[in-house]
Amino acid sequence: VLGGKATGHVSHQQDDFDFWVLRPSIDDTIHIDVDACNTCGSNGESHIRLELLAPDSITMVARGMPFDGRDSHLSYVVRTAGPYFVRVYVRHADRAYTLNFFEIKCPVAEREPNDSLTTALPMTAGETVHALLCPTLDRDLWSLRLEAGTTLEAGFEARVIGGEDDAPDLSLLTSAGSELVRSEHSRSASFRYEVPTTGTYYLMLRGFGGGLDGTYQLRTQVTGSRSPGPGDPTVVFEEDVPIPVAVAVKGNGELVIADPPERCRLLAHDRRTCFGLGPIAWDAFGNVLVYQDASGDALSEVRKRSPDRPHFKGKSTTLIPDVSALSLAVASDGSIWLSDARTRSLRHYSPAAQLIGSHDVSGVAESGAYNLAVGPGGDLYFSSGENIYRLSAGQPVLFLREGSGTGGQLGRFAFDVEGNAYVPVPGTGEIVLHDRAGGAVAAPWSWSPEEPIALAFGRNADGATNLRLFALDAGNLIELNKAGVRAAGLPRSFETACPSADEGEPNDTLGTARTISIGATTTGYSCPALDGDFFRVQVPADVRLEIDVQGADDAMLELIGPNAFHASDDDHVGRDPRIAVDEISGGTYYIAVRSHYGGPKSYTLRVQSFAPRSQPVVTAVRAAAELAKRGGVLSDAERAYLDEQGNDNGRYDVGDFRALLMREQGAAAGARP
Amino acid sequence: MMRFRQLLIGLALGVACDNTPDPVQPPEPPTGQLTVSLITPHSDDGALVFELRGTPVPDLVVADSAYWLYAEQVDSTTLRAVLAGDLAGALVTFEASDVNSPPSYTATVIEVADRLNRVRATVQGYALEIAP
Repeated sequence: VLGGKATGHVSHQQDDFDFWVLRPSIDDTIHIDVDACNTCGSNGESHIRLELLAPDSITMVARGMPFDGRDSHLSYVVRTAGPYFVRVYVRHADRAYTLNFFEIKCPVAEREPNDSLTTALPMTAGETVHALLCPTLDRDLWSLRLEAGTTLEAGFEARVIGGEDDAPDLSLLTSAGSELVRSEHSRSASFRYEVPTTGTYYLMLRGFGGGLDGTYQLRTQVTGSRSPGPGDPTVVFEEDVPIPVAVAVKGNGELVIADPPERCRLLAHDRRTCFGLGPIAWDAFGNVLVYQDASGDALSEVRKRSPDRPHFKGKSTTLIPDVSALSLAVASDGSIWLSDARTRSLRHYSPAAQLIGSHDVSGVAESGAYNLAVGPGGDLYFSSGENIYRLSAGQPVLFLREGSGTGGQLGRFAFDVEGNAYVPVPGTGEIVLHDRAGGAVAAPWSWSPEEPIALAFGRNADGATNLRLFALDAGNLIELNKAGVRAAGLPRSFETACPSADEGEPNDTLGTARTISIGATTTGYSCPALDGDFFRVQVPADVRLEIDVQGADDAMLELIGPNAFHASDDDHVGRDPRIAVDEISGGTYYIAVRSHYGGPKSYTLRVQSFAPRSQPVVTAVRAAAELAKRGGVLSDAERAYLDEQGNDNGRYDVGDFRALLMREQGAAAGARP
Repeated sequence: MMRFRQLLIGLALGVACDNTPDPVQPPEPPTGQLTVSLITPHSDDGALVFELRGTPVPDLVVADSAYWLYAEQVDSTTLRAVLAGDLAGALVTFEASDVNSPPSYTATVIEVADRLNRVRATVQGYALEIAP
């Protein structure tokens, strides 16, 4: 009966189920609490199962949930008259049990609920609280205010109902609920956290071993009063970078991260474009230099690629083959520096990737130079992991010795235009500032990062560096405090200029398109990357218009109609683009020329018109027969025509056949083919 | 196998004993319909060229009335076909003299285009399954 008790025994070996009958009144609340073995294992198989069945003895209306360790309970408000059945069983054990048909509540230790940021109970730094995790899956949040520069030590001792797997862990959360640090699962654990920013933080204790006796003691202690460094505090610019490798900033301020699980991230754009696995850099013409696998698994070449853009997908091409790049840097003259692990040398290339020189650094960098940066005077600096050297007349000269205020392995450092070096030290979680002579100016300059491994200065839309300084840090891209950055980064800008020819820059919009005439040949440059050259041409009606571009690196061609609609394009890699339109409607058309890889390589644009040629008449049946018989049905002209009307890949194939079939069926249906 | 052994025994008896009754004739293999189905790594196949080998060379019927089919017998055992449509699953069917022995027919994908008329760079991952 409600309010009473019952005892029994169940065994899994006999597929034993115990049934108990309750006869409650409508609006009664049925409370059933199991006392059996609240510490029985965490495998979920040896505790008593409790279910409440409806008067039909089939429908389960409530199931026991863990309440006191592994012992469960349930509550159910009766809405339908009739007998209710309590089913008790166990899966992998023999168990004696007691059922309490009355409510049992968790003891009051602290004010509940306190299981969310909004219901967290306040505590003061330095305070110790005594509280209770009850019921089993309870979690408690405590809020506290911490001052920047202090170190929080937080720990707990908990009575755990169950095994070690049920023991709780303690987390420190930001005011937004992001986890900053978490202890191990244990009956007793603690952690330390250096507070970078003054504000409200939350401690959260949770586990699977709560219950009536799940008491715990949570203690906090705050020490130190370390003043923030000039680069503190930091802000998270991009979260969740699982394995950050490198970061680079493009001339228009876009950032790109090499992140092997994602393989790429292009920030500032919504799209993500796949890049490489290792070092990355933007070249002087706005192309991305990436180090990636050439054949699927072997890392062996630096590739040059362009980002995606409307109508065209970003492509990449081999720039420097057969190297094992540890790091890349681009100098203000556009030349490219590369650290090659195979030869343990520093290689210097022209902007067009012609080898200028190679410098053996195996004497100071046994495994090769890990990090490259262009420093004051345009000199190249590199690290051996421990020390930083300047390459002077082809020879390494020690710039910074291990321990010069840094205390460990050095990450990818950066210089500002005053010659100051910002050096991340992943082991200490600090960034140290050195002057141009190598002396430590601020050690640390910033201590709020956790494991900074790579620094990169931001750039304005005009390409010049600014005071924004980014770092890859423990799974995030962070930005250092701009107020602490002494000067804009190096190299300030690139000295290389894009040439211009007949295209008459700027002509990168429909409004600034340069007028050309049919029959004319125009020379231009797709430079820098993403540069679009627009040309306006007056086309008479009912002619065949042919447009082609030669030269440049994988040029792209687009024809835009009189109403600014996209009429046609050609983006095939590996051959010069060409557009041909029969019986074109007369009017003002625009031609856009771009290149996948911007650079000082000219192109030639040719626009011609012809009398419309008679079109071959090919039926779908003949076109299919050509494929089935593998030739001998269509003429060369017919195959070429079908390809041109189809996927235009230079040969007649099943895609061209399908295009013909669609046109034929569209025409039969009265639709425009 | 049991049926084959009985047949051999029957034949042997027939040869040895002139006055024995005619040997038991093997049952005719069950005739019926076989279906050629597409296994593809893509979900936007729009047309394909494929080859069907086996004897006798059958007449193909599209499995979906929206498909467009052209088939050409290119030699005594080979049929080459072009099929277009929003291809998926069952492509074509044909009558076979023994539906229990579909392995006597094999089919191979030669070339595929997607529904934007772009030809696939490879037919790797494609297969044609023949089953009752």
